[in-house]
Amino acid sequence: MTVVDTPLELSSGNGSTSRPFGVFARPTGGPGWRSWLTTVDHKKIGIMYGAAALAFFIIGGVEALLIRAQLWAPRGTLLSADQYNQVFTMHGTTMVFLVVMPIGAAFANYLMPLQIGARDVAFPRINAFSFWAFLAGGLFINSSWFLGGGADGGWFMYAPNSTVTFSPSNGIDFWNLGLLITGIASLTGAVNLIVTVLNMRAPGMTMMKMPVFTWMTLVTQFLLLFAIPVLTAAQFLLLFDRNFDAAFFDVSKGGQPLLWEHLFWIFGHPEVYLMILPAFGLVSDILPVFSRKPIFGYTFIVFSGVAIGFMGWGVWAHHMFVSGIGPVSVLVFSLATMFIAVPTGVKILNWTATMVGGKISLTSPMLFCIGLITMFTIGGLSGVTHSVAPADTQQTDTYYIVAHFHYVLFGGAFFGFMGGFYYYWPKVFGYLLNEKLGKANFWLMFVGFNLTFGPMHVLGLQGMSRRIYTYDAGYGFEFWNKLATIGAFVLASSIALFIFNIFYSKVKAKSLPKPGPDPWDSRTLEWMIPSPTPEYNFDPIPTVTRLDDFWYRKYGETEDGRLVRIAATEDVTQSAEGEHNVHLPSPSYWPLVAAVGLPIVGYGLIFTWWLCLIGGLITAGALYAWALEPADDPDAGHGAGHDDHPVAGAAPEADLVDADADAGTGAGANGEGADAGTNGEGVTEREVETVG
Amino acid sequence: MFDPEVGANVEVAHPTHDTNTGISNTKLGMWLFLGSECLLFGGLITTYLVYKYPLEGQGPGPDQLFDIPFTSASSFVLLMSSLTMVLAVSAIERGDHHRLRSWLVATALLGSAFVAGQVYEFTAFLNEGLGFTTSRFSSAFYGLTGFHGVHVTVGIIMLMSLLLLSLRGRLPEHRSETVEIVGLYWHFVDLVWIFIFAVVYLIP
Amino acid sequence: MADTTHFGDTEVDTTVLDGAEHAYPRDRLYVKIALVLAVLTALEVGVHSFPDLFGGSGSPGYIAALLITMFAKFWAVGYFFMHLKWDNKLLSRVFYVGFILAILVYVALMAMFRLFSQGGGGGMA
Repeated sequence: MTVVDTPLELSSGNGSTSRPFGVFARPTGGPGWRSWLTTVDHKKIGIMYGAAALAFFIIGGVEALLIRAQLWAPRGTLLSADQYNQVFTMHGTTMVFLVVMPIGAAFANYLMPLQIGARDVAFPRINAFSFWAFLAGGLFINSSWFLGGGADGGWFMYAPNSTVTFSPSNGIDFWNLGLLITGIASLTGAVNLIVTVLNMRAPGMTMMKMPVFTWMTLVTQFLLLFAIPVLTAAQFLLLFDRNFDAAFFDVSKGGQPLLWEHLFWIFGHPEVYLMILPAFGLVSDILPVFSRKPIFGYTFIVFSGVAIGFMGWGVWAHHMFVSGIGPVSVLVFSLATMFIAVPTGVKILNWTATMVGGKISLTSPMLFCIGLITMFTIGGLSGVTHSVAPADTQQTDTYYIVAHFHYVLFGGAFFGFMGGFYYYWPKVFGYLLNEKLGKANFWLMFVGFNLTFGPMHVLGLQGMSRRIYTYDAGYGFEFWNKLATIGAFVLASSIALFIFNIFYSKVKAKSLPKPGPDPWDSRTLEWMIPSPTPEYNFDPIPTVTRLDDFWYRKYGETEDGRLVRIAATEDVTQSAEGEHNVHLPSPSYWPLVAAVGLPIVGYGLIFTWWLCLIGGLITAGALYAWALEPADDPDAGHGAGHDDHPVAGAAPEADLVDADADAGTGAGANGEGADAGTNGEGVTEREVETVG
Repeated sequence: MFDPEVGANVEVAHPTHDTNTGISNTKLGMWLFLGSECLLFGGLITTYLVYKYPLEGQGPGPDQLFDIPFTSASSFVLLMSSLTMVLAVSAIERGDHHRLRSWLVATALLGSAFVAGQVYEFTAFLNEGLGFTTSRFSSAFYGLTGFHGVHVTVGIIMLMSLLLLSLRGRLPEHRSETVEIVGLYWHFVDLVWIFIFAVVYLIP
Repeated sequence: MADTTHFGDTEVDTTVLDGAEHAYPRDRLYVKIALVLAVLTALEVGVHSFPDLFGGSGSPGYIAALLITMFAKFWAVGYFFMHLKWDNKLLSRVFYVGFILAILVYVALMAMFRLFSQGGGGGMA
């Protein structure tokens, strides 16, 4: 086993940068809830992303149950038409922007640095800011329930339905501003994670030795990087239309509602892929473990992911076949959509081939992964039927579409995430989730899911429109709607079982032996370190020689290709014992404060201008304090014995992967603040100005 | 890179970046952000091009309003601010703090002149009856150029912050990259204007 | 470790300096580029002032002339002032991926609004 054992030196800390400039004392990052507010640790941030997303998932789930309860019988009276509009809009918005995307971000944040053998992400404070801005935006959107009602234009908020004339309440303003805030979060997060993958891999880990999940994270973040600004541009138009009477979507002044559709789906289709790719990555890492075989066609898996990323930009208008874009456009986008099924099919094939001939153990993570493969295939196939424009003309705006995207987003992405939860729970929290409950969880979810969304195919083909709050008896809708509603409650109970399992297993774990670093006999680097992951991740940083490096430290192959164990797991994993003199980036208040200012600006734009001023000042002030605060506080920090900083420039071989703490990037630590400044300030300044 | 001949006490203008790519995290991050900004401005420019002509009878259009000599002059001012910016970066790279400050001030002044020109242009258009809500053209035009103007303003604020840092002795040579990063942002704003000047103002 | 650590910016050696130095070879280049940019801007204004030389305002020749000068300016600023000439090529790639993607996507969008065909101008009534 080769490790790089260079001293973990810090090469900043010369006189001019080592003084803490903040007005307040630097947070120390000790134990307790306060440490979560100021943390810049990618693992804590990942956990917070996951926890926040699950909380939003429950909110979005309750909204889903309301929808299903309303549709239980013809002429339902639980919700009024107006309430129904709000509930389905908020359900879609919540599930897409506040659940699936942040769960992807949670896994990316927690796992990706571990999979590449890094100590943290490239910009730890920006990482914290991304999370807090996401949370602020999510809470801001949901606060609309108490301030005059939620948005009611559907999650894609088509113009001119979204203008003040047709939606006079403030719901759409909350939606618009809230998603601008989460957009800032996604964008800063994307920059951060891309830089991390490109720049901070452990020695020896070339791009083609990275685990598939890391690859899919890279593709996902590139999609975010380029897709989010398109939505932001569209949302600015909507913002100016709604709040400052601009004429962008005002048909009487020649505004083109179709422009919103185009811009939204130019964002929206890459968005679809960036929601599914993290789950694809998880499955690609979990399947080989429980098949005890390497992934079939690693290169194909990686490049089909990249291909999906590129082709995802050329298919957006298939959402708009019935909007009159002309026969040539329809033809081009129809063909492009059929072609994008190819790289997706490649992945399905690779996963199946991975399992063929393997020693499969049907643990709960594995069950969820197989669930993904089967359910996503169904969703993918119904997707191909949409690419045929004449068929789509019949299907569009019916429940057939609803069935399709739930099969890919719930049956695809969410099943993958559930597999990821079960698989990574011991790594993150140090105890295994109960297997029996896990399997029950899977089957309950599987049955409930198919019971809910399977009948929607039939309903759609029968002609039931989506987004209509009720239906009349006698169209043949009653039976299938009842089935779907029962399914929805089964699905909800499976989620309840999952939450129960979390607490049940935690209690039970006290009397069980610790899972150890590698409970599943896994393949990737993150299983080499103790569970739960220590604060410093790796000590020492491993040197990587091949794909699935950790596996080949444990196993070799005989001449006839049979696996033989060459080392005991305990001998190749790292131990938490002993002293670890690892210098980590210091916690900071400013990411949180900067994020808090954003929703205040949002409330200001909706209610009263002076709040914009306050929010803008909070964010701008925090960004300044942030820029002046060194990334590392030499007077307080983690670990021990880190206070003997060498003089700058004297550490040409400083540790390759030591967070952003070293001088080269430490010089940029202020740039990091300035960089965020261009985002955050850009928005606040603009908003403050336009109000006056 | 560390140069043994010069000795250990000397600061390196471009410190070695111990990253896989050899690029510092911050610089890579900035370029990624700029790549992303292309899509943002692209969306607004596209909106403008789609909405270029107001409907009949809804206020003046671009043909009646644009004052090309004036806009050419202000475009030229912004273009030259890119030169002063790059000279500022070059000054700090060789440790010339005095020139750094001069060039930063020059850049900020040229940027301010550009913004002042924009304010003047907006006022003139307003007097000719082009309010923000007048027509689809007016919304798109003010939206796009105003958005760019805000970017320039943010850039000026960042330049002034750098100047302040430098005056207080907190911008040593080995942190020249901070200036370079702000410079990248500034040049990008100029790039966008090069695009806007041709596509919005000159091509009918 | 050597294969993953790689030293970009070969001119770094020459800029290892203690204190101020006055001659800096690139500055001269920067000024030259600025002159070229000034000339290109003058050309743009020239095209706009004498459209008949290029086939009339709004003709393909006129638009082509303006687009060529625009892209030349764009490239010059990026290549020299933003140091893409000297920096790691990855940075150019990252930026141009965004730039080209934006052009492709938005030109396709405008084409769907029939902006480039007869009777265009946002006419999708």
